[in-house]
Amino acid sequence: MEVKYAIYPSLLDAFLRFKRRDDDETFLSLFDKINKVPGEQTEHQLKGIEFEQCVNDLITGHKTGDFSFTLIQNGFYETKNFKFKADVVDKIANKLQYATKQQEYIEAIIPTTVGNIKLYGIVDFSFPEMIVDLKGTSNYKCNKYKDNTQHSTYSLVRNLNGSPIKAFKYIVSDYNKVYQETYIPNDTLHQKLMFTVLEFVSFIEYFKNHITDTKIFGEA
Amino acid sequence: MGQSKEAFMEMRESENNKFEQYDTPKKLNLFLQPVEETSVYPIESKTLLTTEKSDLSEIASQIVEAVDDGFADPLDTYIMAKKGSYVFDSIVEAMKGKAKIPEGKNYAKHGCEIREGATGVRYYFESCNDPIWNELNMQMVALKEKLSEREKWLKGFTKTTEVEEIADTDTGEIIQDKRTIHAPVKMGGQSLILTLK
Repeated sequence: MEVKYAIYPSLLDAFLRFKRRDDDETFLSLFDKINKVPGEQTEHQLKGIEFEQCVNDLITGHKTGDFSFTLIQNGFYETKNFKFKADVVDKIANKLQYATKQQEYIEAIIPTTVGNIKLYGIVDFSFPEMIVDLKGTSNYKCNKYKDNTQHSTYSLVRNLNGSPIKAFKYIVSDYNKVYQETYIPNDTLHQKLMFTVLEFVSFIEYFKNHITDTKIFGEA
Repeated sequence: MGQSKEAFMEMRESENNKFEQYDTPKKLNLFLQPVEETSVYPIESKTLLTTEKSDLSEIASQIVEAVDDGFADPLDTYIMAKKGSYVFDSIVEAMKGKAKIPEGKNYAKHGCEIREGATGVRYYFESCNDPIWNELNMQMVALKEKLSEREKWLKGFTKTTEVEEIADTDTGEIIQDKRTIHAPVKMGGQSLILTLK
């Protein structure tokens, strides 16, 4: 099936941030993301990545006995560049230990009036009736991810693939505490997502001359 | 009579001095009652669920009254209320789509009438497949971006400045005459900005 547009949630999130003019998402930074221009990794991003790796390592380590790069030191797990509170990591790993898949690639192709649109992405933790996305953030506030498109996108993809979920959860840590946000997928959520997708398609068509990486147009 | 008045004054002064030795005089409110430094009004969730609207109004009124009458500190009360708002607003947001009532019925519980109804109705035109609307919408996005860039440039002016004429780099044609740019006027109301850390 010919794919005219290939879109993943973080691009939609960047587009929505640009429209809201928040988080310093500019016209240029949005196109840098679309064009996959490599940017410098911030310490904040690196910390989030190593935190997720630490949790993943702990979960898989229980199964394989291999705790490759985390060490327990005075109540902390030490990764390459950071130390994380062991009780925080343990709590999250404990919740997620029965995930049926980790880092699972999923996609679905949706026929629309503007052509076939592929929605795709990588799911952190899959369960039979739930998806969990793990997030590390230095500054958490309640319902921080309510406008994210991950929960609407991945729940729609799972629907279309015949394995619908009952809930999408964000498990979030500010490295001291653990928080949880739960979103229940429904038709309204998916409809709103498709309006965003269609507006984003109009946007990339209108500013096509700014796009250098054509993967978004379904080209490999 | 004059002597007894003086004696009374002396006695009162002496009593006041005694009082001051033991306790610092407290700041008084307009009712001439001592002002408390802080206010703490615990709200228990088990009672909050069943509390009636009139009780809630009374709680709010008593808290505000305590501030207005000088018993409670306004800033502490404001901080307490903002923290309470954060907790309850977050819960209300998170209950969207989870809190449900029996299908198709108006429902009453704990002194509340609850019904399903359209809120914040908004039209979405993205799915209409209308190229004119799509084009206009994107022109708006492009225009907002241009406007934002221009405003950023204008914010750079802090005083009235003479700006030279601008010529087209290719044709040499003057596209913007020499002119005077005035600094943008910055206005805004003053209110407390509280950020929870």
